[in-house]
Parts: sequence; C-alpha cells; structure tokens
Amino acid sequence: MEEQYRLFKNDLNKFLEILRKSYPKIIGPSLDSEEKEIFKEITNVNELKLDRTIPLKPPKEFLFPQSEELFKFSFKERKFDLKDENFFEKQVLFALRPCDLTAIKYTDTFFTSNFIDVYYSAKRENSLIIGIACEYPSNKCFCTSMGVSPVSSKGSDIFLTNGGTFFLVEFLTEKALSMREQFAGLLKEASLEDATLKNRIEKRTRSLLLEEFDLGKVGEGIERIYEKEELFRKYSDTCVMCGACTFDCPTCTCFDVSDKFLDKDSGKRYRTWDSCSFYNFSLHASGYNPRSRKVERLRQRIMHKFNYTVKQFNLWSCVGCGRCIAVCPVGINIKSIAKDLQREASNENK
Amino acid sequence: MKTNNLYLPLPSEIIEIQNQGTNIKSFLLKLPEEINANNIMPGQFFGVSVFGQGEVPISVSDVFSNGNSLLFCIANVGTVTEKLHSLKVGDTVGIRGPFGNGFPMSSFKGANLILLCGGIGLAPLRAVVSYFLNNIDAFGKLEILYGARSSKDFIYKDELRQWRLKPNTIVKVSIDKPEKEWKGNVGFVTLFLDPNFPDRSEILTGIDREFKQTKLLICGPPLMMDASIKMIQNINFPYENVYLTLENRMKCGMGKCGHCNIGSKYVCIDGPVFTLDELNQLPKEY
Repeated sequence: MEEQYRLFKNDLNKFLEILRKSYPKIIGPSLDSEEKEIFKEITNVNELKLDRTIPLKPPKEFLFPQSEELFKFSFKERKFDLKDENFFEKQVLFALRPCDLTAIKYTDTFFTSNFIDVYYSAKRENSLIIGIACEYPSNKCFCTSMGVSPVSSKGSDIFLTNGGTFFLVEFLTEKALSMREQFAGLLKEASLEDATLKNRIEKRTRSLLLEEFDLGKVGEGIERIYEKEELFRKYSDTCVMCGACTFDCPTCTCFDVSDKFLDKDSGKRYRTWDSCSFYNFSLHASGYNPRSRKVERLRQRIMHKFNYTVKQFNLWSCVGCGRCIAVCPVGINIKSIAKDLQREASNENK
Repeated sequence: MKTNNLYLPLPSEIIEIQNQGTNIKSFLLKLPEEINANNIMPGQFFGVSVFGQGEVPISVSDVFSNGNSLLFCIANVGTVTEKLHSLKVGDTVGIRGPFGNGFPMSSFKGANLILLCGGIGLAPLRAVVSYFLNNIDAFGKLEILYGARSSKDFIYKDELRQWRLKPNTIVKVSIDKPEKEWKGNVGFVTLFLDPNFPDRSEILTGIDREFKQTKLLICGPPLMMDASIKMIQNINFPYENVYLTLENRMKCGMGKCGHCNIGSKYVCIDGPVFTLDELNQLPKEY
C-alpha cells in the first residue's frame, strides 16, 4: 500500500506554493467570468473550486493545445531555415478526476505508440498530474460504465481524497516521491479510519450516478454492429456535424496541419484540432470521400471509441465524462448510443 | 521507437522537373544525407513541403542510390501541388519520410509480378519496376498493365518504351475511350484480367494459369480499385496475393493526425499497402 498522509486544507496554499517552485504554472478547476466550471491557471488557492462537477472542457488543451506551433520557417534566397523552438513551461495539472486521469493514460499511450509525438511528450514530461477522488458527478456522467472507478488514482503522480478538514495524499510515482521531502512539514500522519475513506467515497459517488451499464460485455458482437447502419442513423439524422463533441472529448486527438506566413519571408507550421465529424476530414486529394455521409462519420467516432482503440491498445477511448452529451446542440447522447451498442452486440453474441 | 522530431522536414533541392501527362509533373529531388536510400522501399511515401503552403503525401516513384536522388510524380490538384508545379530546378522543398510499410519486395522473390495501374497510379509502382529490373534474376516475369483516361494521361512514357525492351518484362496499355490515332487497346484497365479479353494478361493466360506463383499489385483511383476487386473475385485470383496501395487523406505519416484511420488501422503506418485479405477485414472506407 502507498504511503498516505493528511494534508490539512489550511495548508493547501503552502502546498501549492511549494509545488510552484518546481512547476511554475498550476492549472486547476476554477470558474470563468460567467461562473462556469473551467480549468485555468491558478494564482491563488481561493480560485480553486473543488466542490463542483467537472469543467465542460477537459484539461486536454494543456498537453495538446487546440492550436500548436510545430516549427517556424524562413526563406533565404532559394533555401529555407527551420526552427523548432517550442518552449514548455513546467506545469501541474491539479485536481483532475479519475475520468480525466484515465483519458491522459489513453493519450499517453496513443501519442507514444509506434512513433513518439515530441510535442505531446515534451509537455507531458514537464507536467505533474495531481488527481482527486470524484465526489461530484453530473447527471451526464457514466465513468463506472467505462470501467473507471470514481476514486481510481491511476494516471496521477499524486492523488488526493477529500476527508473533510484535510485531504488524504498519496505519492504514487518517482516524479512525486522525489518531491515529498519538500512537503515534510505539511504532511501529517494518516489515522486508521483514513484507510476506508476512499471506499466510503466510492460508494457514495457510485450511488449518485444515474445509471450503470456494462459495456465490457459487448465482446465480438461489436464487430458486426458496423453494418447496422440504422443503429447510427437514429443519431446521425439530427447531427449537425459541428464537431463540438470531439473538441470537448478528453481522448479525441485528431489534428490538421497548416502553414501560415508571419511576414514576407517567414512563417510557421502549426497543428489545430480536427474532427472526424467534418466532411473534409476524410476527403481524398482526388475529390473522393470514403465517409461522405453523416451516418458514416458519426459511426467513425463511435466505433473508434468503443471498438478500434480496444483493438489497438486494449483501451476504450471513452472515459464516461459525459462532456459530449453536455455540449451537443441537438442532444445526441453517447450514453444511449453505448447502451444501444451493448444491447445489439449482446444479441449478436447470442 | 523513434524519438527525434519527425515532424521536421529536411531540405531537398529540385534537380530536374519533367512534364508527365495532363497536369502532372515529375520532380527529381536530392536525397538529404540523413536519409539512407537503402531504407526506402517501393510503396512508401514522403511528406513533401512547400513552406507557406503546406505539405502533401507523395509516394516514391524511384530511388537512385548512386545519384542520391528521389523521384516523385505529382498531379496539380490542390493549393500545395499547384505551388509545387510553379517551382523551378534549383528551388528547395522540404521532405519527411519515408513513411508507411511499402511492398514486401523480398517476400515476392521467385514470383511473377503483375502491376495493374490506372493513371498516376503507375507512380508508386514504378519503384517496383526498378526493384524488379535491379534484381531481375530473383523474380519470374513482370507484366505492367497500365490504363489511362486518354493517350495524353500516361505518365513515364519514355520509361514504358524502355521497359518493353527489357528481358522478362511485358507492357500492355489501354485507354478508356477510342481516339482517332490510337491503335492499341481500348477499355478499362481491368479488362486485362478478363479471361475473354483478346489481349489478356500473359502471365495469367500462359505462364501461371493456376495463379500460384503470381503477385498482383494494384494502384489507381478508387473506382479503378473497386472494379479491380470485382474482377479479382470473378476470376478467383487468391486475395492474399493481391496488394493494393491506398491514398487516404493524411497529414502526419505517423498514425497521429487521425485522417487516414480505417477501423483499427492507419493507412500511413499499417499501409499504404494492404493485401486484399487484409482490406476485407476492414470497413470499406478507402
């Protein structure tokens, strides 16, 4: 069992200040000017909001920004110079819930398989991830159906569990353990009853989730669901292909690459988030489009999350955060799609 | 695992430009020192950049290891390729690669090769022809079956003439619609596989009637690929010996940008070459 300590909430500011010495930028859950939950840079402990549902936008943008420079180019006569001078400031991603921790585990796997994506990896290596047990699920949440426990610390360097006047703190990785001495004065001995704290919170959070289904049972049947277009038509008919679901998804990683002149002789190449919902996403140079219909593009998003990445990495690329449900302008609900898949797939398996 | 930054192109000077058919030019580029010519396989591709415009994925048409140069054949179909077509000898472009699996050439040794190509689809297969000619004793016969929309749309015409004169090499061409001065075959290129077509593939008619010692390599536009697959089903050619190279949209070449994703595969790293057996396991999204 990992070593556990109590960090009293009165000391949280000191804790953050110590963190800041090694990681100047601290990103955490807060509120925007319209009082909506958001991840942003925290300069003062009072800005942290830990008693809310998850921010609508995931912390993905701090590891994989919506727009990111790859390099600068400049022309000298008929030759060119390239400069890859992206600078990564060390950052803490503070108080991420298990859904977002699980998503980062997925993006870590994705961006480092086969070829290493240097831009993601540089940010990831310079980030310390601090997770927190989830006590405030929304009515869109279904993490447990995707195999994520609300108190799972997997994917974090340090994990916090709310104990009322204190946080139970676990140091889980080398990165975190190497810092532990610096917090020595703030870390108090955990009491015996703390050992059951996570269990109690897990039970309570699970009871707050509206429903739970077991997608693990879909098995081989999901392969044949691809052909059942009517299953996807039910949802794609109303879809406006705005791509918001993919942008707000913590595991969606697709991007486009573009060039831009900054002046007459120089410019930059940069990448921006792209979406499989967009017609142009799969358009060939010849003008042919293998996913020209809406139903084909919606099916791509769903099958990618619930089937393709399982085959590639043995991981679902849906973590049940429910953000795509919250953001969809026409009320498409991935939870009901997942339940349809589960039902149809189990019929196929019979 | 490769850790260097593969998003960064290398500078490459244009050595020679030739017109090839309608709206198509071939570019001979200097091979950057960082890239080993021996590591480039037929069927692989490079990202070719014109800075300020962007990058396009282009298959390797030929590798000249002695001259340290690379040949690409590029149709003017978009903003990047339009800019490429305006460049002159001595200009510099950026290249990244090679990417993709390429054709498993060493596993083809001992077999006959049929190359079924449509239009600019000869571009990646030209590298196969060169590999064959450089290792001619290792293979059986080579048959190039090449169709184009019109007589103006053939690429590498000079090379086609030269290949006809090489040992163990058969070249057959066809155009889609009749033309006044054209005395050769007329009809879609898949006709060459049709048992009832008079000028049918010589390998399939005579040399390997049982389809046991022949690999069929296909590249062309999606319609041509679909027609080829139908013909292959009709003549019962074994799917595991059919190799198709795909041209899905792609931006990174490393399985990251997501554009070329088909099922659990990425065309840029798992392909662009797939056997028909492998394609049949995937959604029809190519």
